[in-house]
Amino acid sequence: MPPPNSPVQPNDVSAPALIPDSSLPTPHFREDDEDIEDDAIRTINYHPFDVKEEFDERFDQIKPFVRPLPSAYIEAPQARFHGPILDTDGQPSQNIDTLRLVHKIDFSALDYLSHVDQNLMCSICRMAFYKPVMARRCLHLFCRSCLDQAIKHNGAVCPIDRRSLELPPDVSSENVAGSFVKAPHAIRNQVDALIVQCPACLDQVVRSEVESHLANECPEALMSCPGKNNVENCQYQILRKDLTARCLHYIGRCDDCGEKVLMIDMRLHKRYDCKERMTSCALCGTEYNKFDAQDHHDECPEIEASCKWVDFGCTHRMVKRSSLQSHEDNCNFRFIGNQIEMLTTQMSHLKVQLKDRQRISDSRIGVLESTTRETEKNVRRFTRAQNEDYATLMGRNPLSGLSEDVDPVVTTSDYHIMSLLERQTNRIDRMEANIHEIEASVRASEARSTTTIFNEIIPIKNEVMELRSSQQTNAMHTRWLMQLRLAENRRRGTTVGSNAGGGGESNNSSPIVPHRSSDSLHQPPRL
Amino acid sequence: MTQKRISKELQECLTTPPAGIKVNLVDEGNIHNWNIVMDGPADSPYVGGKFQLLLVLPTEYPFKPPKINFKTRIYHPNVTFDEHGSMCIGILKSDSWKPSSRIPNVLTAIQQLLLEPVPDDAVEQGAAQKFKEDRKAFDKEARDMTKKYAK
Repeated sequence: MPPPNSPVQPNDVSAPALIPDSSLPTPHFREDDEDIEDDAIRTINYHPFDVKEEFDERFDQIKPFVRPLPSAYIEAPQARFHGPILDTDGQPSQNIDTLRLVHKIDFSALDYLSHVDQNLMCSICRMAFYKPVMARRCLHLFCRSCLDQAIKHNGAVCPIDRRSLELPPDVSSENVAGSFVKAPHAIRNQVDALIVQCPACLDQVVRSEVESHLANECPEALMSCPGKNNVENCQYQILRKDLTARCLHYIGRCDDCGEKVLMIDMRLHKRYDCKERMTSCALCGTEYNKFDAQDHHDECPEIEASCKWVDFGCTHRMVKRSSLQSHEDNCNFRFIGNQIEMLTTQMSHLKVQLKDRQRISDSRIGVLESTTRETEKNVRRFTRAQNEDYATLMGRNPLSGLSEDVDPVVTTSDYHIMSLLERQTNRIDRMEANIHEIEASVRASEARSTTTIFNEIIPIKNEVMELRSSQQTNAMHTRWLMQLRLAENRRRGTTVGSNAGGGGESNNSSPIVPHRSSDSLHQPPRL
Repeated sequence: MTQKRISKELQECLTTPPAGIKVNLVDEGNIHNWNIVMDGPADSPYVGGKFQLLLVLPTEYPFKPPKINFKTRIYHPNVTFDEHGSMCIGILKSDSWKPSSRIPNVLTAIQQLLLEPVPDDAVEQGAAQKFKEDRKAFDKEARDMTKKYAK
């Protein structure tokens, strides 16, 4: 940085090159003019957070135009590197990448343009999850930062169900941080794919790309002033759309009002601030802003203009605009003019289309030509290879094969090979036939065996049925006999029981046993 | 984050407030102080009354519960019958507050409290006593007080 009482050299040398826009007049004042203190030659249009104090003091005499940062910023954008950046040869770097800043955005302050599903909203900040984590115990999801804050305020309890976040002792975890894990990819991908509004340019951006959009593309985002790479080591920041080749943070004088103005703010000054900005038209006397001179030129009623159908043959050229309106209402070309206009636009449209088509077909033709050439080449190579094959087969010079007659001369060795091949095919055919035969016989024997099995099973089944019915008859007989026996026992029990009393029961059973066999033998069946 | 969440909830309450509740800001520049007008629920002795409440959201919101006071006097076991109108409601106690609770939930909980007082958790002992022993007298008293203060 130059000492405070010496003028900044680089700006003097290349002053005209500093003006990026032709509409911005060259200031006729330079900072080495004697009536401006060097201390006041700069001011800023942004206040970065990290500006050194003595740097700031030098520019506090002219009020800077301060544009507030969008509220979504956590902190002001910061340069990746501080101090001038030099290329390898020691010259100030012209690489625009060195002017990029790091933008830190508060994602919970972004406006979402896509619909956010209720299930993707953090219950604490009521916004879509940002870097979501999942409590391992209750599986609830939160933004990482929200959960951190909740733990700080209320301890390690789940903010939804108030149960402890600590894992049971059998799961190993040393601290609270171990009790939650990153949310599943499916959820993180969904929230990262949401569309948000860029806090600076208000454009639509995918949420995961906001910061890189601000750093690399957004026209409304801040960048370092190009003076950062130079000797002046300018620490101020400018919008990407205002980016110029050189640092404009120095004071010039407005060529209209003579006021000291920062060159970077000159356009704004001319438009809104300059005392001389209003002027009256020499022709019509209307007051207009000099900044809008072009607009007035297009509107001034006293300026000469031509009928709008002049291209189509109207002869009303260079008359005052005030009289033009009445002419245009009655102009003979007003009917045909619209038609012609329409046709011209259609024509130009068609021309564009035609050109497109032409381009496409040209490229197609090119592709086809190249493929044809390729194929031709392949064919040529193939025929040559074939000829070479024949030639080697016949033990001749490959080149002579090309000029020989087309029909190949078949030698005895070829016959041998071909006969071998024929024999092999015959053998394979025979084997196939054999296989078919075997298959057929297998199928036949299978059928036979199933029928024999069936034949054998049927009599067995019949026998089983017979046995079953005879068993049933036997069972009926037994039941009938049992009933008979029981009735007999009861009869006898009443006659004997009166004599023997309690002890008679054990005696009862023994005399019955012989009766049972005799009964069944002597009793004629009643069936 | 706090600001964003509060303004989101305010937007919600302004566009689709819970039935019988109107919400506006005490001071346009400060979204932490809300003015709430609650209609007395239909099946309660407070029917016909319009009760004004002041809802103050702490800077730590949503990690700390909001504070709600009745600005209109109300005869209720769980609300002090004085100019503070402090109330005792479970959802707002700091040991049971959950950051996932939202203002509309709190407001409907207060409506529920008007419908069903909790005399065992009372701050206004006289009203609680009456509520437990002589429900009819309590209802009459509450109706009279509603007529007197909440018109």
